[in-house]
Amino acid sequence: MPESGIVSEPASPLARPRRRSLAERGFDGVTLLVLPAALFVLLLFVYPFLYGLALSFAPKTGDWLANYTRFFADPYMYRTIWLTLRLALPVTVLNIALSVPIAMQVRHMRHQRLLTTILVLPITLGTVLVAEGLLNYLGPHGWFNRTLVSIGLIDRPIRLVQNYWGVFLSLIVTGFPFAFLLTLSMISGIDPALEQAAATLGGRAHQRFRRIVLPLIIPGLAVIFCLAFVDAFSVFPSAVMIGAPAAETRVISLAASQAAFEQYDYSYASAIAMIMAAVQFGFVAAVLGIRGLLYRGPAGGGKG
Amino acid sequence: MNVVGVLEKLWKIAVWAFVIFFVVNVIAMIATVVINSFGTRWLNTWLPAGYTLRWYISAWHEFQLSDVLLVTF
Repeated sequence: MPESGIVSEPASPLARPRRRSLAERGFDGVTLLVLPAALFVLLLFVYPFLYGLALSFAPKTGDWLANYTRFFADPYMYRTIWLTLRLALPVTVLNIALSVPIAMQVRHMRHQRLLTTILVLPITLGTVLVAEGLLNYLGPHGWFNRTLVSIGLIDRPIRLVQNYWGVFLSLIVTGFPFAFLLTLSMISGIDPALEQAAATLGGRAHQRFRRIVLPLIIPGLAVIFCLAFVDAFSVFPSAVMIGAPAAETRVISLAASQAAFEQYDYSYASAIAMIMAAVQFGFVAAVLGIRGLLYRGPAGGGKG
Repeated sequence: MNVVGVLEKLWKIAVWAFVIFFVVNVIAMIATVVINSFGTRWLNTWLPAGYTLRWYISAWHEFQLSDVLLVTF
């Protein structure tokens, strides 16, 4: 994340002293431009969040913590945290592990835009279309299984939908392009002179990657990890459509939606959403905390 | 060519093979949705039994899509 402070203009010597002292601290007319955005965030994010938080402490019956004790007393409910983590963590790690080597190759490619356009497609089309497409494509009579059977790799169609792997693959299809495009922009931001210098000293590609590129991109990768993880953790349409929503892919967002729209218990649903947010926040805080221990210097990847 | 050079080449090939595999699968997946939307019946064959615009027409009528699109825009 860029540390985007407002760049204040040097205070003019004719300005009144009070105004100058504000300007010295970085406040001036330009600062007012932050107001619409702040108002927007306040109205559309902070207010609903606080409303949900307050609602979660006002259960239908019982004391103010009743929703939370109910959630953690019921294995069918609290197991959704584990079921979601079991999907989101491996997917996020795999997406980033795939993105880095591919971005390292693609940055030298001439027709980069063609590849990035194709990769943006799944993000643009949305998770519902991807889930619907994979349901056909990976299904027992879909093209994927048919191809594998006809070239003789397998003799029976393998089961890839209506289970864990269907959701896993759909999260790769939508999550990999996301992680890849962020990684690519970060890796392209590294000064090529650094690697060229290493190459003149005889560094091979893998040495240049390990000694130069990797230390520079790790802080940025941490941020990408957070974004990709939050994205994967809030999986909903694909878990319902190509997962097994009653069993192995009963993710936490599905539990919240059931509480809200099947049991009409908005208070309980808010509590589940708050627990979901707490888990996400816990992981993000842990990753960013570790990131704080790493190298941060002038040669960093810019977007890191 | 030494061993490291060969390994670097192999690694490059593996990375590109994965990219091609991914892109082919994504395009095929999108194609199934498009073909399916025009198909009549598609069970246990490579391609649907026939093609029709029926789904688009009925979706247009059923959800009053002209109004929906107007609102979306």
